[in-house]
Amino acid sequence: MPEKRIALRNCGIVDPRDIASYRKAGGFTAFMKARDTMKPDQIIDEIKKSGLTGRGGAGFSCGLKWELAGNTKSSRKYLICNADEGEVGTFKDRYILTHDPYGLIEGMCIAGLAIGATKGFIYLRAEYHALFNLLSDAIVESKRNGFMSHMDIKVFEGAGAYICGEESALMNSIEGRRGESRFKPPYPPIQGLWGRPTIINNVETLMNVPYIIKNGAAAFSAIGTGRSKGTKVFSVSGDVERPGVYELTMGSSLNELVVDLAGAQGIKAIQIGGATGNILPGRKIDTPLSHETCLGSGAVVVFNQTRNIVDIVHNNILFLHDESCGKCTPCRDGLEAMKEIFDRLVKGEGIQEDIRVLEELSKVMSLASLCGLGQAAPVPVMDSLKFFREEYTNLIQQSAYVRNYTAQGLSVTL
Amino acid sequence: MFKRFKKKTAIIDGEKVTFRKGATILETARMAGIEIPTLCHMENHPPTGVCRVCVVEVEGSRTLPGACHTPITEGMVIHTRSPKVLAVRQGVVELMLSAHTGNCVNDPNAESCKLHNLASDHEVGAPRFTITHPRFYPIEEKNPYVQRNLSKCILCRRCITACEEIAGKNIMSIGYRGFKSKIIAGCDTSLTTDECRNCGICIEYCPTGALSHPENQHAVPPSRMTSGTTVKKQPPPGKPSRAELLPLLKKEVSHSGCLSAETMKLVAGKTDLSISETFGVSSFYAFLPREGNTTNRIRICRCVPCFLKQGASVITSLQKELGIHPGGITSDGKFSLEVVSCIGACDQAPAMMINETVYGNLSPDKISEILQTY
Repeated sequence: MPEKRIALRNCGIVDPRDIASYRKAGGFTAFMKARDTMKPDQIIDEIKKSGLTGRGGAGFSCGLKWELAGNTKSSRKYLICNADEGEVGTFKDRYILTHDPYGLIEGMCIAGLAIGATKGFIYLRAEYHALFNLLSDAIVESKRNGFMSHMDIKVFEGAGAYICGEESALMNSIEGRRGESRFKPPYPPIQGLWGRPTIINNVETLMNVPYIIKNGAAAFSAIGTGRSKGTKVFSVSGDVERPGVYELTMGSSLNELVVDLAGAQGIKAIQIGGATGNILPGRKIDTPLSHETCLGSGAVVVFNQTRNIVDIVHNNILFLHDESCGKCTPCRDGLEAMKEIFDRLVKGEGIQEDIRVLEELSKVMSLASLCGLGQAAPVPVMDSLKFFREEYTNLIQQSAYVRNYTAQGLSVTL
Repeated sequence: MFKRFKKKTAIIDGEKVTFRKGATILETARMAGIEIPTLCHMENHPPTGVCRVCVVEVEGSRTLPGACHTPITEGMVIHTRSPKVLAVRQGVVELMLSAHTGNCVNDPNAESCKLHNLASDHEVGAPRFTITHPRFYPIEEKNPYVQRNLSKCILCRRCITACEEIAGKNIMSIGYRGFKSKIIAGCDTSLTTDECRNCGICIEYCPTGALSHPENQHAVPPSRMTSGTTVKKQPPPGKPSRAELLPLLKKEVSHSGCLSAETMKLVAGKTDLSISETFGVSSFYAFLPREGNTTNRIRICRCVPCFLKQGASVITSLQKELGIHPGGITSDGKFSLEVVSCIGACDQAPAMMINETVYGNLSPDKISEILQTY
């Protein structure tokens, strides 16, 4: 299956600082079609029929989410664009925002019409501060051109916390609270920001909206697989010739993405979906990329044969340990215990028992944690133990030999 | 067909239970005489769901939801003591034991510790999940009403709720994040008598003895312990709302480089939030530094994509060039260095940011050239 540009349709084609250039490329025609010829429930219906799913990682049906918020009675509703792209190895939203801010605003304006939101936020991660003015200017221009009479949009800047990409933590952050996750239910479309119905969509999800409205749901749902319609934007990095952003139809194989496009060679493993993402061995290179298999945020990091898997998982755990909000016990204290085990493993102080403890701890964390971070934190640990168990056992055995030799007063180099 | 009013039902541990709309699993179970252990839960107060001791198995659910905050719904099938639940609950209790510095074996008061009791109920033996450096803080005896031994704290946050909603004072808050989280007062200072006096309500709600009555002090008369009376402060009109807090804090940082205790008190005054709450929010976020006024902040990524591309050697060369360690500031105050999480420039790995500018495809030999432009 080929590359296909839907979310990235305007990137590199329009001038991101010029609304006229965006309009010349057909910008805002979808919005005008929605505003002038469609009722809110027709817009929602179209999105539902398209099969568009959340592109931030969870993959929930976008149309159902909108419908839930649309049906909830409230005098005030909110729309949030999640641009807190903090997932390790993900930079697709940065690329989109840099090249097509108007595309996002058009998507948001349509979403606002559909659910009846009067206020929208773009939650921009602090690390992307350089994009703040570009987005704010695009909002001002869109307003001046009369596309935002139904809704105000404000860029809200984060302050450096990965967990704020989790939707409930993100809402807490906008409310001026610590970016801690909330328990669910209540779900945001029913009770979200300041207790009001709120839709939170990833940048890429919203980029698909104008395309669907303009070309019809069928054009979109014709592409992709059973549960995964349309395209997906991937961020490819690691041991590849050509790291970057690629948009492929859903269901394309990993091989097409990392070998054909990004130019990877001698692949040992691939991590898909960031620090909490699945780790697949190189032999699974034919895996199709879709919600049915693995997708996450679309972060794809490639590891060549020289890489040590335990080191990589250790790095993942260090990241998650730093970024856990600390609200619930399993994630907060579990990641500390997990970090300690990995610290010991890579220092050559691991013991066989550590593997069993890692498995038991993973189970507690994935089942009992309050939010996705703690629940998914053990994924790379479990996957690496499944596919690369011998790397752990070899490392532990070597460590034991070294300890034995050293205890006998002998020196050893491995 | 004849329709009659039908009560909502669900099944807990094989028993059919009825419930009113909006009730939680915990409430319903307790009404039916089924005991689910809790730690952070406070009767008549909104649940926080932080301790995860009350997790239960709901058929069809991928994870184990907390009973204290999950609404029970029609037809739900719940298991409160299945082997899966008991194993996970035991794990959660073990983690709490490992993460705090308790001295339960020699402590004559250990019997009054709810965590200690939970551990014995769940037959927790030698900890599998060891934490070599558990949270440890010196005992604080400055306040004649409350003695704090935060090493025993398991971060259940009951004291925060008690102080805010029962005592109506809002002196305590949660500060920092992750494993470093801590119950704080003010800008993480000791509990002074300026605000905290003649009360001690929080002590009654602490499950582990992290808060206690100083030895020479009598317990507060029980009449003051009226649980459930909520005294919530309303912000006065005309003040910036809480939603202004982050923008205000960020403005202060861009103005003066960091957030001093004085600045935080100022912002707290403006927004009418307590100082501890302001500190609690600001200490959560990485981009709100509390010290180190510096002209140029260097943030270098250490996550997997940068790590693969020799990020570590670039960090070493940065340290050498600047003569400082991560977290430090050069003696002339020109640069600070932080090793941070993914900055979203993985396609240019290894990468760093100096203020807002991203520098990608770094190598150790490029560092000095880049620094010279500042």
